[in-house]
Amino acid sequence: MASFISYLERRADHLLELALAHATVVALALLVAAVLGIGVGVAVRAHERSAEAALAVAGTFLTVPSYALIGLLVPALGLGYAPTIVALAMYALLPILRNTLAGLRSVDPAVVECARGLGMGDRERLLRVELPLAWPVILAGLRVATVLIVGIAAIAAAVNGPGLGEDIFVGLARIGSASALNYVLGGMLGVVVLAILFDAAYAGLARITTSRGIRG
Amino acid sequence: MAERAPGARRPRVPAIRLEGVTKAYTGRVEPAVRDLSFDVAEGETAVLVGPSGCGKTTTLRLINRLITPDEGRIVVDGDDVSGAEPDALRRRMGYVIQQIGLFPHMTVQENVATVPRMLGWSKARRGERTDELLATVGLEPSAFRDRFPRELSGGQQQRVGVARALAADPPILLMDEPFGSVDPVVRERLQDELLSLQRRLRKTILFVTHDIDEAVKMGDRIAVMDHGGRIEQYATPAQVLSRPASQFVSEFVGPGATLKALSLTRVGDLEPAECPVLGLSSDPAAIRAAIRRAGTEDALLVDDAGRPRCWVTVEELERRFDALGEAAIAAEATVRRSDDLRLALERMVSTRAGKAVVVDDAGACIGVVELAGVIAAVESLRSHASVTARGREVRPLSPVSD
Repeated sequence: MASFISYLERRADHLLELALAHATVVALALLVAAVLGIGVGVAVRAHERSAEAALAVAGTFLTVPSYALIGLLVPALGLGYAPTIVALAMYALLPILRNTLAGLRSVDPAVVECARGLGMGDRERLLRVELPLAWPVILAGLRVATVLIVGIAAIAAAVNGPGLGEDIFVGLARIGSASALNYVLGGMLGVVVLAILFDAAYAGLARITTSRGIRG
Repeated sequence: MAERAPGARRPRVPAIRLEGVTKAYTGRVEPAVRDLSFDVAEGETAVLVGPSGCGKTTTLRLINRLITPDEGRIVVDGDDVSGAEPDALRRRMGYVIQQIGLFPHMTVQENVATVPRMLGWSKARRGERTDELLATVGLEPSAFRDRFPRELSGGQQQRVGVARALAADPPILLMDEPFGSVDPVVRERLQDELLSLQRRLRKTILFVTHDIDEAVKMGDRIAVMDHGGRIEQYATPAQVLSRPASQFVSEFVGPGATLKALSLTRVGDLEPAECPVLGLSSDPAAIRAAIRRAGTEDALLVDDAGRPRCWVTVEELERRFDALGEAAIAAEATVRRSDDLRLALERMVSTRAGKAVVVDDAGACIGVVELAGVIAAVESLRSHASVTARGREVRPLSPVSD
């Protein structure tokens, strides 16, 4: 235990650097997945069959083992950031898409009816009424997606990707040696702390971005 | 018609006109409305009333183009709505629905200012308008402006709903069972407030309900609809109640049509009954003389402030002229001029005197009404309805063809 703490002290700068890279990859992947997931969700919300199809595709992504998916992307995208971000975005898609659809469908039809009846156009109705009302549910989807890919992002080290996975892989490769466990534990601890920080950020975001009129 | 005598009434252009409108929903054999035609005159309240599934809500939604007719024409203020841009059209019509449909994430102020904001009004003007409207619908602006819908009672929410519909001062209001989701006491109050609002604003209102009592109360004209959106009768409430056009209408109106018609007439419209009114401390002989002079059975005694106290008959005077207070019937049944005859009748039959004293705001007697007067009013309502039914005023609808 004491040796782990002194290890952390020694490697603090290095771990911080890895954690920052890890967070960056996760954030970029979330951004891609959010644009896609919310965009597709909005586009297919009124078409039952397209919505089912989109959910099925996103669901399929999630069933592919992460190691395999990232590996499969390497021939097309090379090593490093690109395959990592694409793979993580694919995993994040399902929770975001599903919650976008669920959120939009949970909007009271009477409210939508009134918006239409008062002469609010499609675009304005979406931006001013439907999305704001669906937002808490969409945000919950983003939160689930984040927790999911913060962990998966560690695998990215397999393709020379950035992040805390690097230390975990190094440690696992040297298992049996004196410092191996410290490497693995350091990487794991970093992932857990990152997940907690992301979650706290979401709690704050939810407060700031949800109208007082619909806050639970 | 360029020249018009000053003060002359504008020619009566129907604000809303439906011509042969048919709408069928996919997957249903029977159309929801079939070959429907009627007019709503400018400034009038027309009520569509009928059993559920009769097509009344469909009719309303056809007018603001939330749905599109399969056949026929809908003309609003002289323009065919099929040529209008739907959103622009809807901003000229207030829309109120039973489920209220306030935007839960917006404040009362933002809800009310929805249409003005879309029309590009400045923030200051929107704020002013919101406050004005909140006051109009009976909500203190400073207390309600910044609240969210969930912080309001059902009745308050629907007041906001009405304010929102009126925000950009649209000439037409479409109301689909607007008071259907509030309790009876609140409903009655909202109805009364809408009536008094309407007396000032003179909007063209198309009001949908399944409740014949509400239709009679709210409508200048009632369209009784049967399934398939067929209008069985389109006439004034008095006509519908006293001369139902078909078996369906009389069944829909139900028993007690005459009693319902009583709510159409106010106490102030009644012929006052002959009745001597004297002070409580009057001399029995004077009372007897007054009764004899008036040719009535009894006299009303009032206190110093003119408030009714008791009824006294000649026999009572003869038997116990020394103990008037005990012998007499307390004059407890009072009505105001603005009360309707339903209430007056209720008060009359709940006292042994069989009549009611009309009082002013201070409670002082200003007259007496009795059963005979109510009966006479019902008679005249009936004969008047039949006269207008034959006259040119009423256009019962283009013939229903099927």
